[in-house]
Amino acid sequence: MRRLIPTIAAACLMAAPALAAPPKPVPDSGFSGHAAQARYTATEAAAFAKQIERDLAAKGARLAIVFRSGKPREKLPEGIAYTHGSFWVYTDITGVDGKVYKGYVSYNLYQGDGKSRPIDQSYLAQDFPLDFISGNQADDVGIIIPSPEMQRRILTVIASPSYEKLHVTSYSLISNPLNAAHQNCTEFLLDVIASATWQTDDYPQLKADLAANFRPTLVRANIFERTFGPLVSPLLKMDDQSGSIRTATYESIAGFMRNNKLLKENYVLQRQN
Amino acid sequence: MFRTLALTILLFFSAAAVQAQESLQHASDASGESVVATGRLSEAGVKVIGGSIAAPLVVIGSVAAVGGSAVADAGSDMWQSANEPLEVSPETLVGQPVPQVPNEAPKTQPVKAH
Repeated sequence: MRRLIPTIAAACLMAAPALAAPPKPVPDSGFSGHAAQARYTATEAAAFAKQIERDLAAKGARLAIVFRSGKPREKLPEGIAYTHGSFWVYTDITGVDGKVYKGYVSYNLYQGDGKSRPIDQSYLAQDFPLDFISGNQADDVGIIIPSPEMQRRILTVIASPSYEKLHVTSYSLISNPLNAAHQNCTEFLLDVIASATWQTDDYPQLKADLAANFRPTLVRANIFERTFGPLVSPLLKMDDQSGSIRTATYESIAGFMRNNKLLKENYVLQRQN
Repeated sequence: MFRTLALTILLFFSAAAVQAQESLQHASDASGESVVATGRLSEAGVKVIGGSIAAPLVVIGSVAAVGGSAVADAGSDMWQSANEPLEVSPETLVGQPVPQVPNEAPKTQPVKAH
């Protein structure tokens, strides 16, 4: 027993850095969640949301992929700048006054709230740019504008039953985009993009195509987080990971689209004061 | 000694679980921020419009199914003008509040038999 005590104590000390703070991947749709306090006032959020809309519209983007950071940047794993992404679709919006307004609508995968849905499940929802940007904890967003043909194809998928067919309800904060077991928001974006690229919604086939062509972002996580993560949070499902922890991010999705000539441009848009 | 150590370990893991749970609570309301912000925006002079999102949207003349066959031709007129600047309304669109739905269904007028 005396031999065991130092071993247990050592294990606790090793684990302490991992447990002293919440696990790095905390909820948003990807790596992080809403911070306790909003970064912007409502007016600032509305201005930033409209700035993004005007930027996309000036470039003629009928569909773009926009990423926000749900956590302060310094709390994100190295090499990862954004935690949640969604499709922004240019469309007519009918106001309660009956008038038609022109702007963007955000197509999201969100995790369950623990009330209407379990937190380890996700759902698809549409909302407005203000909703999207209100959760941002940085003064910038990442933007991918696909090529016109890819915009057309992605819109076609969104408008089809394939969009929901590609949704995997089992939610994991750091889902492996090369594995079909779980999904988070960025993997869902990637799956829709893949469906538009290969023009199929055969999910196992898409995963095989992605395994051959997509280079995911590798996440640094120590062995403790990997072993005990599922005990600490049901959102940290690790059974789809082996070897290095892989996930889809703004950076890896943009890289995939750039390398395969699927995008018009990608850039970081800074918030104007 | 062992009891103390075991208790310490138990508290250690419990605290971590609570901490993780607290962090999760901030993720619950992923959407609907704009509804909350509507009042503040209006006070600040931002023109706010409640909007409804029309179901699928811009893809004109597309065929729904993707599987197997090629994606259908979608909205050729629209794509001929792709990359040209688009108009964005200056108003800020927000989600509509849940309407008040009466509990009782309206009584229908009996249909007179002819």
